[in-house]
Amino acid sequence: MKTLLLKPFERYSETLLLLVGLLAFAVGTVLSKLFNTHFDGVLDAHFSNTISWTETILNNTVNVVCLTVILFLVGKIINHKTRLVDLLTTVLIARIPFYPLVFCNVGNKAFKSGDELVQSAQHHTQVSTSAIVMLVIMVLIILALIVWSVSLLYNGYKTAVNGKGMKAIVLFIAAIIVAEISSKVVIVSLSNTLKL
Amino acid sequence: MKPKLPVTCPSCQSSLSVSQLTCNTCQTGVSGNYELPFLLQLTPDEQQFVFQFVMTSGSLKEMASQMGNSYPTVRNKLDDIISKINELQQKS
Repeated sequence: MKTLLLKPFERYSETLLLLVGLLAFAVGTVLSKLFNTHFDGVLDAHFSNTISWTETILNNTVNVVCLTVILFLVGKIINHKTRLVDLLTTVLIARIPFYPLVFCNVGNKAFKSGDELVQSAQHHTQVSTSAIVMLVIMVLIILALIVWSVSLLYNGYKTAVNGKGMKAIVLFIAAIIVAEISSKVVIVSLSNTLKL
Repeated sequence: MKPKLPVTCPSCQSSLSVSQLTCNTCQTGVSGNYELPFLLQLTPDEQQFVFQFVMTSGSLKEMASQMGNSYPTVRNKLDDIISKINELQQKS
């Protein structure tokens, strides 16, 4: 069970992982449209009351492409035998924990709670207990899912590049930061170009 | 139980060498100081891996399916064994 949840890359073939990852990508993209969730960065999830199909597809595709390309370049530095497919499956599988986050925004609940908090802060009014409880629960769920996602990402990267020691860890952290920044920049640029 | 061939000194962890060989048929003994071949200096698991590698004609994909592991896991293990053999070669 531990292998399945944290280290599937050590056991399962790339074909199976790719199929599962692509299926999850498709389901995640549809869910993020249905529940108005913007995955506008490799480690981002923001809730709103509307999102277009173009935006949701663009967000998810840019996240996967940015993270895969950057981890692949880092992988090549560590081990020249690194294969693109192993990092693509790593990224696709590691994004699975992000998709259940969309359920926080069923009926735009997360968006409304966040909006209520912002309004209260701006007008110095009392925040309702339900909004605070909702926020705390959401933060705990989001943190747990992000930890799971990063663990999957690291384990997949380690397997794909045969990474060992401090160098592999430092390059992994650097790759995540660069991927986060570049995905944000690419999403904003493409959104402006496509006038989304 | 089949006894394992010790390859490192239990006292100081240095590599062991062969000092005596015996013929199982006539019990003739040969004494000397022979270095263990690289393959025998690997752990039993690593030797088993090399054996499987030969038996699958070097197909890592076939080994992965036989071992129930993914391709990169098997390739990483092979890379680790290659590194270990390189280290042993440098030491000798």
